[in-house]
Amino acid sequence: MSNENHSAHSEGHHGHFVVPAAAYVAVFVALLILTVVTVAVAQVDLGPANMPVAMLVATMKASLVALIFMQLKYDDKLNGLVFIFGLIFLSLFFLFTLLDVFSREYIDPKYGNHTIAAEQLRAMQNKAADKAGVNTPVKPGGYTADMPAKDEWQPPPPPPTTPDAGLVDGGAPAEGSVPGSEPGSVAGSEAPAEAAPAGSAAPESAPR
Amino acid sequence: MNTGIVRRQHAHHFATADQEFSASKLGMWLFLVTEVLLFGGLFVGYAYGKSVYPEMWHEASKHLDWKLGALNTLFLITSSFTMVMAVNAAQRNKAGEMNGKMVGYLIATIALAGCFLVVKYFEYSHKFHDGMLPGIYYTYSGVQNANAHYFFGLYFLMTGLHGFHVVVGMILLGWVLVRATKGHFYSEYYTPVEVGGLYWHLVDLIWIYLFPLLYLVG
Repeated sequence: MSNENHSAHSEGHHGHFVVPAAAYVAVFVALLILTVVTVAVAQVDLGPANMPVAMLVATMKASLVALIFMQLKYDDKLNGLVFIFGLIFLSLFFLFTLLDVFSREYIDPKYGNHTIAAEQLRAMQNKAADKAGVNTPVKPGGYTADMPAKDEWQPPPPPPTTPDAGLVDGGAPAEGSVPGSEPGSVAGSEAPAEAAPAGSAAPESAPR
Repeated sequence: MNTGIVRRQHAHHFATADQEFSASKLGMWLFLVTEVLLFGGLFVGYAYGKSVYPEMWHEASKHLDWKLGALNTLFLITSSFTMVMAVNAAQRNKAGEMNGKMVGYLIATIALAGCFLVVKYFEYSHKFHDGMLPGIYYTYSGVQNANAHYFFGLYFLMTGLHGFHVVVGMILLGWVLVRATKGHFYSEYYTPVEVGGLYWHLVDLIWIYLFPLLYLVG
């Protein structure tokens, strides 16, 4: 197998493909130029574009190193495939962590307000409101220096525990009933009748 | 230094020397992938910290000296170049005539790695002196923002793990260097030079991302 592989891109038994040294010199010069570019660009504030530009230049450098210095371009494709798969799994790692960081308040609008990201957002809104001379309606959480001290922060309200507020559908099941049973089943049809006297506000919520 | 070469018979469990070579390389690439995932955890930690504390991140990263970071980038890129030139010399080494060149390039690579560590030493000692340390050891008062210990914690973890890889790379290439002086590597057998080089390029690759992330964009 490896014999066939080798005869495809080399002459003779042991002739690994030798990249001309001039190609290495060219890549070296390109890497130096790109380093100067990334330092020069960083002296200019591009706002939100700072990070993408820096990562683009870094990825160009990394590609040169991987393709030419590490010879992935000339190599058995298997090695490149192994590396690419590693990068795919790394990107999954990034994807799901950042999805979590940026999306909590959308998933849970009530308690998501108390995530760090949501506090940050509110702090930024309050700062903008202060600049505009508007009175800030919401007290921020105190995670950064330009916010009020930490002792002003109020912990989030505890989740509702009273049966009339939170536990509407089958929240106080009878002790004998099977959890999660369907209303049509034998056990489920008996459960509401037994549960009704247990809660004070039950008659209102029982029909649901 | 040996001016000739010492020929090598491939290990008995491989059919051919080529098979041995490509198996070694594949093994190295698999290892490099685990390295990428090891550093990946820290890069994800970076992404998380920067997303959650953007202003602190920006302020804290201003306390790193980008000139020293750029100097170290220069050292590592140059060392990657001398490393491929060492591999190139090994590939052209038919009967020991390239031994001297190969050894020279390997010495240059190791010396540049040493320069990197010297710069790192000055950076670290400055931060130790000022108390820009991780977690509970953080005593620096120059950053207004609370939570700056998070940034410096990641800074030390990322550059520390990377610096550890530089040290390991120097040891590895030192072993390659000793064998190169004995004439062990020639056009038909240079696997340690090749896979040692792969490892060294990965160290460079990781620094290519660390430098802008820590020193420049912050």
